[in-house]
Amino acid sequence: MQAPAAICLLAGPDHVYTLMNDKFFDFFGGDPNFIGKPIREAAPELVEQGFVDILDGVYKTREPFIGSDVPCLVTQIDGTVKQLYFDFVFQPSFDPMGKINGIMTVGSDVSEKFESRAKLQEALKARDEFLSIASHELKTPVTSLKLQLQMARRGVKPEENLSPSPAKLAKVFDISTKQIERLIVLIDDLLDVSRIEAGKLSLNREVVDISSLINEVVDRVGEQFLSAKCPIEVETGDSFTIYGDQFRIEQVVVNLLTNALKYGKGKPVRVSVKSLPEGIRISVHDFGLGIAKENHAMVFERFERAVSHNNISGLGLGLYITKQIVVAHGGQIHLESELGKGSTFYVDLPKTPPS
Amino acid sequence: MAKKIFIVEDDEAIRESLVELLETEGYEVFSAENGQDALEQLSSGTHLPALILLDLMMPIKDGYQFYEEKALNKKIADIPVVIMSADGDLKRKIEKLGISRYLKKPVDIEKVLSMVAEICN
Repeated sequence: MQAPAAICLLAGPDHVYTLMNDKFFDFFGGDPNFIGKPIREAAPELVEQGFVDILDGVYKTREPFIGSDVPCLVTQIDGTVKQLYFDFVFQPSFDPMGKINGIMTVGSDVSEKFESRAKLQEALKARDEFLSIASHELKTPVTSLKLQLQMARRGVKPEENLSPSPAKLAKVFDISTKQIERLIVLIDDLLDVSRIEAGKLSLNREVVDISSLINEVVDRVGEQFLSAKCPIEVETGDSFTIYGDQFRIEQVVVNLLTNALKYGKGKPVRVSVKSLPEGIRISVHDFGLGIAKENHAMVFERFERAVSHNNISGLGLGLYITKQIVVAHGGQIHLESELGKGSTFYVDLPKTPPS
Repeated sequence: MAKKIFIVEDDEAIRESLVELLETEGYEVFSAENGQDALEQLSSGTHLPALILLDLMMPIKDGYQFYEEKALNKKIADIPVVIMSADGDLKRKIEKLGISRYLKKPVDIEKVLSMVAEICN
């Protein structure tokens, strides 16, 4: 029967290999002639990693060493080197006179536990960052709304029959409405993410004319883009129809356009649609910041963006939601981009839903 | 002469509301949309503000970076700063910087006005 831990007995101040179990041999062995050799000679890679210094310390102080999650580069039987994590105990052994005569080392491979803990910590960090971003994003329009309403209220003096001018009030209402719209977008994104996470993103399919859908979206948001000096150029050509959820596909187009506006302010945005053998392709091209190749996959992840939150507002959910909608339609999304050279997002949607 | 207040805030709607609020109260107000813009305005300006209202999360140069660079510039190091932020952990974070005055977003205009008045008068 094989002990779950890697055990080894080292004798004397030079830590001469005296006994080891198979598990130890599997991890740190390789040379069957280990036995009888001092560790410095038999396993120089352990010297480089500081283990022999620890053994020397144990021998000198007569105190055991207990280490958790100790990283260790281990040469595998096939010669490859792998980073593993161990819980170690280096226990000194004594002769009947109480003199130290060796050290027993016991190591348990905790790499899997260590890695899953590291992943969990990463996930918790991402969640905390997201909560901080979400709090900032939600409070920004609320701050503006509160300022507007409190300032208008200060101007209302019922005892003197005074109120702000109609022009002033109109401005307050307009700004407040805009802030409420900002909040609605944020809340909708948060609700969509929780729907997606619960597997409840349902589609109400109907025949959708993608060309008219794009033209309608562009008509609706065109002014906002123009005022940001980001004119939208549309190439929709013929009518392309698919069987999909009109509202959700609109959301895909709006998200991609909004993204192009955020990252490509001051430069035009091109949106086009063309036919593919199995469906249609919507492309949204901007001439903005661009995305480095190593970040291409990341931008479709939840709470992720390729640039710091401080530089770009939003929850970092837009492309994640977009991808989930596209996938729910049986489609695919990908991008072509280079840092500093703008980005093109391609959405391929099948004409009919996958069977 | 009216006291000068400097607002450093990236959100246009919040920035403009605060400018309007403080101008209505008789202050002379100028503003910047990020830390970089703020430092440039302060270095080139001759008449320095009596107080800076500083947002933290801003593009290009955030409030923390602005505050650190301001502290190194003798001309502006002593101008009092009030932080405005929505950060839930704000108190602990700014105490590390040695700042004690802050306004939590969404700010209350009476609190803004009383804090500004307390520092300026």
